Amino acid sequence: MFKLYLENICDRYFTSVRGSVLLIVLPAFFIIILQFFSSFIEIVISKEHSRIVDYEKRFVPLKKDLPKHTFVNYFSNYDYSGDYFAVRYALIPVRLIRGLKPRHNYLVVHFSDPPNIPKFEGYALEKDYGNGIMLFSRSVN
Amino acid sequence: MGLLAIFTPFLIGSAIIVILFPKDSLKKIGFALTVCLGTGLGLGITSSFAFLWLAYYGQQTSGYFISEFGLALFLVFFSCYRFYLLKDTQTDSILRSKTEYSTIRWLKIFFYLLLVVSVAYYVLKIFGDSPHGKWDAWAIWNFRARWLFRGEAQWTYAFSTITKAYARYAPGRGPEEPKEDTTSCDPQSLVRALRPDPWEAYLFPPRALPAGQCVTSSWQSLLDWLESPAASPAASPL
Repeated sequence: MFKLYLENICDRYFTSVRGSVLLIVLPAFFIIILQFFSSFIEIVISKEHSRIVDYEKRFVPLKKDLPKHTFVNYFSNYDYSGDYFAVRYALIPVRLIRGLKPRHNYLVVHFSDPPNIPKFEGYALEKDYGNGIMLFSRSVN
Repeated sequence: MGLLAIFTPFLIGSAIIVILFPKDSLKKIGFALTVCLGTGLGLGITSSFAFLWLAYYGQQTSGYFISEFGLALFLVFFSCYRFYLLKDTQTDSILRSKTEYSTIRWLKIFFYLLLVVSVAYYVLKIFGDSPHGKWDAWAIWNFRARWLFRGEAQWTYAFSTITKAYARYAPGRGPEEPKEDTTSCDPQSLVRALRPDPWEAYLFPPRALPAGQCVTSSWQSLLDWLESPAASPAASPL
């Protein structure tokens, strides 16, 4: 009842209110449609998505081979500044130590362009996952 | 699997909304409101419940999932009872009148159209682009949440100073990168690494973690010190 009463008053005295509402609704309408289509092109057509999704997929096989809660050395030549954080996130509950010191039983290597299998003193290659990710285990104490 | 994880929270939250508003919560737009509010409310309740369970029992056992599902079933039955008991006992002539909306029909059509496009956009972004959220979401908050869920006996690492320091650390822009404490089986050093606030020590009682674990011994040593009559800052294990 109260709402109807207010609407009647609006209709009688403030006919321009609809124009103001249109000024808000129409840009909102076009912005949302535009945003939807730009995301659709980006995600569905260009197949672009957040980097962390790639990291999650790529590190799944490695994660299965690592014992839980172990400390693991990590070596990478990726330019991406968030590389270590992404791997650290993807491998939970494994604890990742950036660099080769202090030494632990496992070493994870992540290379953007692995021409040859690198060699690390005191470590032997245990598995090459084929996408730049390699697992080394300690061979010398 | 992700959708399955929000099923019980959705049931719990929606049931609470129906219990509180049995008259309108399942009708027309009220139903949409119940679904949205209920999911958020349920996620909040189950997350808090899961954390308290973790703090008390040390690990998320099958008992937690049985309790959560049992709570959902109880609330759903109670909400059904309340809904059928009250649905015809009250009427509201204003809410049931349709004439008041006829004048703004064009606005309603716009609204529904925008709602559909917004939901499609949201679904696309969440499931296609960033299922883990943006940088700060996964690097700080989901990182902790993942430790809580997957960390088992070492879930307290989610609250360690290392994790806190990494949350403030921006690669290339400082402060200095924190160093992981790797002497995991030495209780004293692990206490230094975890360094809990005093309230955390009271929140996680000694029975919270299974015996024999490194984390248990660190919490135990801290609690022993806190509860000892001769506790003084000089004797602190921190």
